Amino acid sequence: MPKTLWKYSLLILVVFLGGCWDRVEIEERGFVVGAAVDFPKEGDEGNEMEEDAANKPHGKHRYLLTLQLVVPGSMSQGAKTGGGAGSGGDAYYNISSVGDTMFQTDRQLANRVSRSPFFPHMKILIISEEVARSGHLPDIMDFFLRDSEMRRGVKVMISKGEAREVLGVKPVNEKLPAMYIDSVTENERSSSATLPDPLRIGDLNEKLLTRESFIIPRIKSAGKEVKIGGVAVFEGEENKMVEWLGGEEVMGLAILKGTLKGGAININVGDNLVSYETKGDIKRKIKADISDKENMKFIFTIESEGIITESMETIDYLNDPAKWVLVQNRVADEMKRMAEKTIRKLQKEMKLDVIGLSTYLAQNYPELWKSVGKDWDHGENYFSKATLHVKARVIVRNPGTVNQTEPLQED
Amino acid sequence: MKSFEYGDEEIGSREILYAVSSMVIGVGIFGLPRTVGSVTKGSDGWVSILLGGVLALFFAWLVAKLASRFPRQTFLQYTTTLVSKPVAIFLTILLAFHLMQFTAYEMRTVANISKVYLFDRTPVEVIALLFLLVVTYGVACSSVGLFRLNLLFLPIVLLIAILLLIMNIGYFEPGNLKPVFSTKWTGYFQGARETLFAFLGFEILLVYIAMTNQPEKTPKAVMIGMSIPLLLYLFVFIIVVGVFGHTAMIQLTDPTIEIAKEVEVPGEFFERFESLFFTIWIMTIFNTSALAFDASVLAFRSVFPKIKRVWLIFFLAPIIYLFGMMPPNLIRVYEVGNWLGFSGFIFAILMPTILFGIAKLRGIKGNA
Repeated sequence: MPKTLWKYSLLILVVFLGGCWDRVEIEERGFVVGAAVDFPKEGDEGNEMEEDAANKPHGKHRYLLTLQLVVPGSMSQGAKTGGGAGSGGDAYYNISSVGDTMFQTDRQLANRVSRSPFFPHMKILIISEEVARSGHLPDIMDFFLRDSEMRRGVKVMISKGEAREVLGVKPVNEKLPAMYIDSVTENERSSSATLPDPLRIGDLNEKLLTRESFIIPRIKSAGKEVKIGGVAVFEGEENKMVEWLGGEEVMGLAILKGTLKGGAININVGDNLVSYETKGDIKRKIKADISDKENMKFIFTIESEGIITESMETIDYLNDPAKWVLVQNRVADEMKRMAEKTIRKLQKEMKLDVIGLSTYLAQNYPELWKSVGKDWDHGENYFSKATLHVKARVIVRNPGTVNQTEPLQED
Repeated sequence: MKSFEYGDEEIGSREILYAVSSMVIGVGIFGLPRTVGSVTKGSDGWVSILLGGVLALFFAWLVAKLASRFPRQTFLQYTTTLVSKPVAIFLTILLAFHLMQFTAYEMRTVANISKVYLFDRTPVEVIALLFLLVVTYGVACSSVGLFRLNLLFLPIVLLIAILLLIMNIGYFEPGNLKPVFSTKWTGYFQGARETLFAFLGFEILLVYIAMTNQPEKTPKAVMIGMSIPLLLYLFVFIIVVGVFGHTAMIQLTDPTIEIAKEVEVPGEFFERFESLFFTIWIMTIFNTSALAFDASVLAFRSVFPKIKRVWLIFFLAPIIYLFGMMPPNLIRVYEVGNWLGFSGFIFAILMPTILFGIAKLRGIKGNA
């Protein structure tokens, strides 16, 4: 009998089996969807100097970290429509604090919110231009890469003006600004030519580790919406932002990199305009003549296939092959012009290679790369000494659903 | 309390095949791309993996050949015929210790990784303890039970591995594979050495082949069993290089876990694929640890047949725990890993080769 009792008493242990040391109720998680990093200004929370700060280790800079947290309640209630008492709020709130390191700031923020910040669902990270130009980008990235809660799919952008303002936009058709921005970056159709490919934080890590110069998309806030367009060019040695590259130059860059996926290209035919759009990725090939280190030659061959999307000039496409060819050639010339403009700017003004030639050389001519790699777009700057040619070929697959919208004028 | 008992304590060649695969696939795969990548350039690491894998395959075959020369004889019995009783006992006990250390290392590594990725607040000691308790529970049954578990787990594990690779194809950049063949030849061999460590574990065959009822089929089964991790490692390496590029890959502590974090599938649950991957992967680490522990128990029992199996397990488990928790930080754990690779080299490669040589030279064959 005592033996059975002993056995039954073991059952008490069952109580302890259902434990979970790391249990956090979902209601206690503050889902972070976006983050922004600025330099602090007068009067920002946490910016006041502490009295015991004399002996404390200090970084080179203090940063203002803004997190966007989801308010789950308002997500489901259709908060915008009601406007009634109680609910009425936004589906998110932004909270900022100043600190020496990202991690410290994150933990400071946790003192002020009822739900502790939880990062795996973060979508975007916005860095202000000021911070990017100061060359501290790698310092900031470290936290967002090292912490095990972080994912490598977070999209990084550089903001013109304050980064936290971007998180404060009030989009009309989305509840969360961060989600709205995330969808805009995915929106390949819109203005795709000037909309640069989103940069994932994992890819940025690769760029920071190499000496390669790189680009990060630009974002601007404008009240109810954001505008993503243009890119910030970073010099690869110190990972410091150097300059912006805008509109057409970004398109030129996309042509050179072979990443152009669409976007309108306007050309003049006669006294009017014709608009063309690339369908699918364009094809790019590089041919290199590396016999002379001081004057390497690269020939970019670009091939684009697409359709006529708008033709203000009346052309009888179906019966006039010569005009068809003319349109193709004009588009090719236009692409060539944009690409060459970008080359001029990158090669002669910035002297930075963000076209990806360094990767091309490192991958295809590893022997040569050993000797020129260190001085590619620094020091000797072989890149600026190289000659870059662009050849473009365009195939118009079809002229759209109508041949002409108005009758052809007889001369 | 009477535990369920299987009809016989025998296994076939299929069980051996699964056991070898499950044993070899463990925590090695997490860091493998980094260790191989850091001594090779571009995507050349696959050559090292192939080289190391083929070497491992050969030695595994040798171990199988050696052990199946003596059907139904334990490691102790056949080494006694080959190199006298005292030496045989010495070797058996060393092998048992090596396997214990193996279990300890797996336990510590899985605890470390779970701590980083899953349990932020749970102390690593507690995670390790719980893992070891489960392993002990598994081992406390019978060896054959563990083999059955392998048959069950391995397909699931391989499925999730394949799923992981497929889901990463979208992030794969072929350009990252270039330049090819730019590594110096010494690099390939260094890489192969690193890989060989990831293939260790087949030394358990020294103990287990005694249980098989088809000794003549074992060498073939072992070869197939070893090819599975070889192929897996090759694919994982290629995908990891293609996704991260060489430069970033060698900076990631556990590249294979990071590719699980790359994956983003629409849908709230699968968005975090790594949790699923990780949960499943613990199954194979469980298999590895349990087999190593069990083999160690079998080795001890062949020397001390009077001790009851369960008591031996209860006695060894705390020692394994202490072994595992000794290194204070990650660098020391890696160091232990290196030592383990070294002793694995002795037990899986050096010793079997010598024993096989002796057997061949003296023409000793077990009485079948």
